[in-house]
Amino acid sequence: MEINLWTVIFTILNVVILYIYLRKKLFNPVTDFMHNRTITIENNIKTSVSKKKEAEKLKEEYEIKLKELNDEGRKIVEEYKLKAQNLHDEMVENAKKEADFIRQKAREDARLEVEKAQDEIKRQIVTLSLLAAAKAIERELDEEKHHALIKEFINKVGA
Amino acid sequence: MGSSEALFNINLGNFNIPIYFSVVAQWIVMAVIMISVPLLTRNLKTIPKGRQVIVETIVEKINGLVKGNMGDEYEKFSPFVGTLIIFLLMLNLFGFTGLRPPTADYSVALALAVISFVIIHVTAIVHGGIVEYLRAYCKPYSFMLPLNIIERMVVPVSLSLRLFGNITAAVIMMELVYEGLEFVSHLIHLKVPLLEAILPIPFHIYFDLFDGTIQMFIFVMLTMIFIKTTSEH
Repeated sequence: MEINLWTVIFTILNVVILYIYLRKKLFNPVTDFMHNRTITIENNIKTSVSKKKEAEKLKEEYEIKLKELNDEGRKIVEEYKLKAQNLHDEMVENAKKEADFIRQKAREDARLEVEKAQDEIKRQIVTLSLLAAAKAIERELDEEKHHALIKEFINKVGA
Repeated sequence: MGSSEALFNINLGNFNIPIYFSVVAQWIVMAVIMISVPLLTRNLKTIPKGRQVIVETIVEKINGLVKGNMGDEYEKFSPFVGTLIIFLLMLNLFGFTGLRPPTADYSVALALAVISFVIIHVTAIVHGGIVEYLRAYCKPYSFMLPLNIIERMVVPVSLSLRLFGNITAAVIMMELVYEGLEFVSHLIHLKVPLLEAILPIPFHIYFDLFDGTIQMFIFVMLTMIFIKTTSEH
């Protein structure tokens, strides 16, 4: 079990060389690689969590907005329905009024026509009676006077 | 045991450097490591697959071992500890080639222990300063100084002797097993050495694989613990 100095020196040298080599080629690159990967994964997880939160917030916002829009739409529809109802009512009212007016006017016209016809008949009767009277009494009467007399008579009779 | 004779000599002017088998064996191990590492670590992918899983597991385990035993602030020691683990394990398991493991040469074991010793004390000096380092020899009482010196100086001796003793014992045990089996074969007139073919396997598993791994682990664990305790007391 003698100690050989050169073997000791060579062994130390070998370990030092191997240490430098392994540190440079194995431990540092692999450890750095794994460390970087850990950081990347952590970042990815963090970003995905925050993205998810953001998306949830957006979803909530949009849901609220959608509800608002729904309500607004319903309100608009309701409003227009009301307006249409009003317009409809108004139009019906107007039509009714117009119809009433037309009916009224027609009635009036008819009445006037009847009056006119009655007048005409009266006048005819007067003329005819005058003619008949003149023929009967064969005498010239005061046409103006007679005319008035007969008219009065007819009115009294109530044609 | 064949380790006392140099394989060849290197002549450098007046110097005559003898190269023993245990040094050549180290060079073989180093060559294997240096060839396989680039093959294992080239183009690392974010999602590990195949050989990358093995590499990542090894590095991760070593980093975890250093952090677990020494704490996070000693993480920079993991390349050193990792080198010791890989190199020592391969040196101890060198017996599987049928050749003598280099750690059964006391010079190699001593060299490894000297490296640990230097690292332990340099770390302590860098960590706490030279004054604090020297003062630690007089703690808890100044009359403990000789005891403390012995305690610290005996570390490389105990480390190297433990490693050398265990590996050498394993080598001797294996040689005894083979000799014994040869003797038995001879006794029952076996032409073909059938006994030597299968029976030594459990012994190899115990003395080479188990003992080699355990000794590597003990050496590395003690080194880590001494680095930490010496630099913090």
